[in-house]
Amino acid sequence: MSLKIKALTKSIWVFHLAASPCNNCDIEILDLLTPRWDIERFGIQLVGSVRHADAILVTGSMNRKAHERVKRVISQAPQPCFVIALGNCACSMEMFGASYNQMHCLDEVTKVHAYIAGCPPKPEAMIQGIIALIEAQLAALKK
Amino acid sequence: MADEVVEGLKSKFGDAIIDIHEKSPDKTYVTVAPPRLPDVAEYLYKDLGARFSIASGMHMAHGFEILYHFALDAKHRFINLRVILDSEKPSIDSCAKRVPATEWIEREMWELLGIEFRGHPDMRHLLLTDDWPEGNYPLRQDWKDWREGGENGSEK
Amino acid sequence: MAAKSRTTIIPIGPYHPLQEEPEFFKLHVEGEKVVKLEIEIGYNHRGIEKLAEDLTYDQVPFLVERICGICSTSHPFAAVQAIEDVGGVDVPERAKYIRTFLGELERIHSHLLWLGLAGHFLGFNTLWMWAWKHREPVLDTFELITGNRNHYAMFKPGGVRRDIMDEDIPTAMRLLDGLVRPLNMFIKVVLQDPVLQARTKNVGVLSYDDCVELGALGPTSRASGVPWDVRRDHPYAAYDKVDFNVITTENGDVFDKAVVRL
Repeated sequence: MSLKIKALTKSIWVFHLAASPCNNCDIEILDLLTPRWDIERFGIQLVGSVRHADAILVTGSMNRKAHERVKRVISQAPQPCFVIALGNCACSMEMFGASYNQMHCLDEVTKVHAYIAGCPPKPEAMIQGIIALIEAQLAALKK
Repeated sequence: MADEVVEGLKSKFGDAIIDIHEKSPDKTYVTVAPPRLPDVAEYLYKDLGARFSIASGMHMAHGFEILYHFALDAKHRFINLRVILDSEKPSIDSCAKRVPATEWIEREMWELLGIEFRGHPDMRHLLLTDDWPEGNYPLRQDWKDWREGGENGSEK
Repeated sequence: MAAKSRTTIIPIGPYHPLQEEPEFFKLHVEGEKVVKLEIEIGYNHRGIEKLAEDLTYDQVPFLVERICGICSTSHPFAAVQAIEDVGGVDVPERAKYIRTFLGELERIHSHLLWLGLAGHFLGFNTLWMWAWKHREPVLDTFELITGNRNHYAMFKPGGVRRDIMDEDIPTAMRLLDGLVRPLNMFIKVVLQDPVLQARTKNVGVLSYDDCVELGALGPTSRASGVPWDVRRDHPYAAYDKVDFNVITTENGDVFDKAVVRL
């Protein structure tokens, strides 16, 4: 497992999973790929299928309808795979927690490795969050 | 400001027009008797070339109120058709066959408010899950969430 | 062999690489032609109407802002105007102009975003990268004026949350002036690019009649030749005081939808 995680931290391929977002975090994720931030220079790339993913970026507060689908998509990811909650909605459901169409927060459904707060988080914050995740995983390996 | 649109409605539908309220120069609220609503809506849409903008439903103290908002863009004004339905068993004829743009919003009003649209061509859940408990309409005033002991339980 | 006209069902979504948000399309296709489409939405339904019932008038604009992240002026704009209409509140002229300015700025960013994504979906990633590169100055202007790149929270019943500072204006002008050249370039590129034309001309045509029947609005209807523009027909904020053209095209295909946006 440790070798796998070490390899995983080298160039993370991310899958973007939108669970009832307002689309803002999603647009900022795409922004990361465009010339100003260009995270492909760190080897981070957006992939089209969860089966290729090293990390899943979950945005949005996951409503009743998206709930089952999100669980199914996450279960299809090859292990080990990091789950990153991106934006306040994914971290804590934010202002939608009281809604009738919300049931569970993301971390009640699956293990979340990193939380990136903000509404939406700035692209710099996302990069920092991913770096913090990598550093934490490497530090845990050294122990 | 009684103008030709309002006069036309009055002369054509007579008794069906219960009340006309000029909120502002460009917004007119016309209360219509529920059985004639599809006729009035069709007249606005087909004969006057109005654009159906959106409908909004509300659960008020005196019953369910639906507003069908029509925009007459060339005349720079809005005509809002208001119908008031009974609280106990709200039911109205659907406009969806005559004004196709109303199809989705009627589906939404049915699932969130529990207003029955008679003769709607395709009445399925629009926003909520297909296994949403029946007779459970979240936008009603007396509706209870599962946290308050309602039936749309969270056990999944 | 089965009968000649055979319908294949292609499901797209709810999680599909091309979609930024979950929705489910079921395409019934015969060969290359889509004959029927079933749409299943509701993956984003968060019960905002019910939540708003519990909030004060001051809080509602911040909630409805989260309906859509790309158009985060439109919904609070409508909400504050409704609240002002109910309360009979007069809005200062300057606030009206600031609102209009934000709305139009957002139009630029949203149309560039659309153009970029359209390029991305066609596999023309260069257009995506370029369009989004030149979208950044717009977001910078937003950050300068409102403090955030998206979800500006600028709308308050009775006015706006922040004024535009005098010392910020030169920077904003510089950023926006810098947009003119790239935008002209996009107009040239998109209108003349043979690949884009081949992929989008006569694709997804929405006819004039269908458009009227379904009550489509905005760039979608203007691309079908329906000259509806709420900003002109039912002016709000300062739109009756600024001069602009309503651009319409006739064909209603995807190409024309790009043209009206540029």
